[in-house]
Amino acid sequence: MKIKLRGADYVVKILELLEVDSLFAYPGGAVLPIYDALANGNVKDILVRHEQAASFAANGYARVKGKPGFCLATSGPGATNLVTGIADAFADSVPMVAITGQVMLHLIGTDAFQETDITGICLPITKKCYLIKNLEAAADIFVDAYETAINGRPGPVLIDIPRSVQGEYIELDENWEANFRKPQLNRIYNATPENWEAAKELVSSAKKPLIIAGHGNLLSDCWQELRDFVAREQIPAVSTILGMGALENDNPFYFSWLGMHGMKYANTAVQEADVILALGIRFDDRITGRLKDFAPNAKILHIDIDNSECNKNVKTEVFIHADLKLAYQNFPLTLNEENKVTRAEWISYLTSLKDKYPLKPVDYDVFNMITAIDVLDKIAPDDMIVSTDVGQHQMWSGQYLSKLKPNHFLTSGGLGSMGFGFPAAMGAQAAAPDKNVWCITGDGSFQMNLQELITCVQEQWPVKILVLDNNYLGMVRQWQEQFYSRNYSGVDLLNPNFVKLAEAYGIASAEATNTEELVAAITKANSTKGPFLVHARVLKEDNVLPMVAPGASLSETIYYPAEEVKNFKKKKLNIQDAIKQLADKV
Amino acid sequence: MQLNNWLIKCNHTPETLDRIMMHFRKRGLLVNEINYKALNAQQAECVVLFDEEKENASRIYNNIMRTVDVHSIEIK
Repeated sequence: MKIKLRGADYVVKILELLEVDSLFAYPGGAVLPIYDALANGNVKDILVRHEQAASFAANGYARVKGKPGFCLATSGPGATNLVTGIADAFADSVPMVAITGQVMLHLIGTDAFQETDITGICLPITKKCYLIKNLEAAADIFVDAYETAINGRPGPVLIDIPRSVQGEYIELDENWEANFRKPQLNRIYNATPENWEAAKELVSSAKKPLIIAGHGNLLSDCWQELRDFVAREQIPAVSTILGMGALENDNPFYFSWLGMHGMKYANTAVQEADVILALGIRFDDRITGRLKDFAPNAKILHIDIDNSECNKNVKTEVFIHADLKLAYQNFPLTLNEENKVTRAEWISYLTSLKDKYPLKPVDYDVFNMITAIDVLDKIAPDDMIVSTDVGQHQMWSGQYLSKLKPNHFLTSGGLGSMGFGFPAAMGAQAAAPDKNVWCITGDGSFQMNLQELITCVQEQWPVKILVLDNNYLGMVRQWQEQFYSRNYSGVDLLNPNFVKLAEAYGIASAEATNTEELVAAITKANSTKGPFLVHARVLKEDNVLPMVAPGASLSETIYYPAEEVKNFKKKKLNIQDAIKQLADKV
Repeated sequence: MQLNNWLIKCNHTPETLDRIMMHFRKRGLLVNEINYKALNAQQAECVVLFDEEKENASRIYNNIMRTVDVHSIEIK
């Protein structure tokens, strides 16, 4: 027996079969039939207030849930508003399915109202784009799109659906849903025995081997395999900022993250290593510094899911094309009696470097971003999910958040999109309703998507927001200070009263101008059932260090000024005691 | 400048040619000659001739190889 379904209803049914539970979306003329169908379906559509937030939220959802995030927008401006979020997902290899309405099929190319060539616009920032021209192809397209998003190196795809197609009818077998082919994850494994032999020889003979663990470890859901591998091989590891959480912060083999604002000891480790095991990384310029001086003594073993990363930025001695999860299972043992000793010495040396070049200790008498982030880190539950925006607060969050679990640190690493943090936190909350989700944001970044406050209220998402307000675009100001002779230009921010703004949206809020007030505000936020905004008025001028200046080598990592370092020991407090004292006081 | 002559084996889709060409366009490069040919309903071949130094060509190669619908590039 045959049944007839309208295109829009068919699409929504397909979304249900794909187990889409959250669709971050905004309506408009070219998706009206889909909205009509959504009203009767089981897919929860979340009404954002700007389409860009929909694509960022889908990103946050995907990272926390471990499956593609879905977003939907109408044609024209709706579709183009998704673009930054799609580009962000492409840069950070996050699986996402963006669905856009399009003008009627026969109107394409007539410069119709709200017509844009969104599949053309998105070519460079998607793995694949699709235009559904007839309903018969729709199910296959959705499944192919889903599989494309998750298989190989994950990333975003876009499906453009003309409004006329949404209104057409398709004849289907009565049991078509039972026969619907679910998307499959196919893990890539193209490693050969010769690859492993070469890898074993390279790593076994190394005196100073070093792992650089990237986002691939989180995307491939193999942080446990990484932890086991590190422990088995006794090889020290650093991570990229997107790889944070893959290794525990207190793991004795882990030496934090490298790069432009990474730890000086992590950068030094890279520059002194003789073999680098690059696991799920893409050698972004923010981690390599001046490319020709990157890891000058090291031969590189690179394992990646994306074959096109082979020799793209850094010359590789051995490249293994495989999903890391499978690679760890097959990686031969390289630890032996001989190198066990040299590895222990190497780790001991790196530990001494870590002691020599610590991060600046937190000074609770100074109310700056570091203090604020540290206080949140100490008070919040261990399984807190944090999203950040982009700028100084992002780097300090990476440096001072100490207990993040895998996929619990959401940040726009590759594209560096201001405005990412808050919607990504919403997506994370949708994916993990019972988790404590904090968005750490700056006064500049937050104002790029603060309209979503009301979305949180409407959805009853208890997202907590820490706005670190220094009345500056802090990172730009820092660069103008360091590289443009303090010629500050376009960085002074006149801000609204964020507490009153939150109140206007019906969100509980508190202001903090010192550490004690912040402890009180965060404590109150965590005990509040709904969303909560903390407006922290922090020190205006402060610079993120350590730093590798643009165009410099990792060997030239700028540490803190010598005078400041002298005072490190004097200022060093027992942080737990300090926080406890503050909390007791409050 | 070095003349590069590549044979790209790919899926025959509405966007494959654009996805190949965008890597030249975004670098402001000119393509000397291009010949895209459908072999059947699913497969196609694309021959591209362009002038570029080896190092840059190698990065274009990697970029094109990231395309889901591109299977291989044979350098002639």
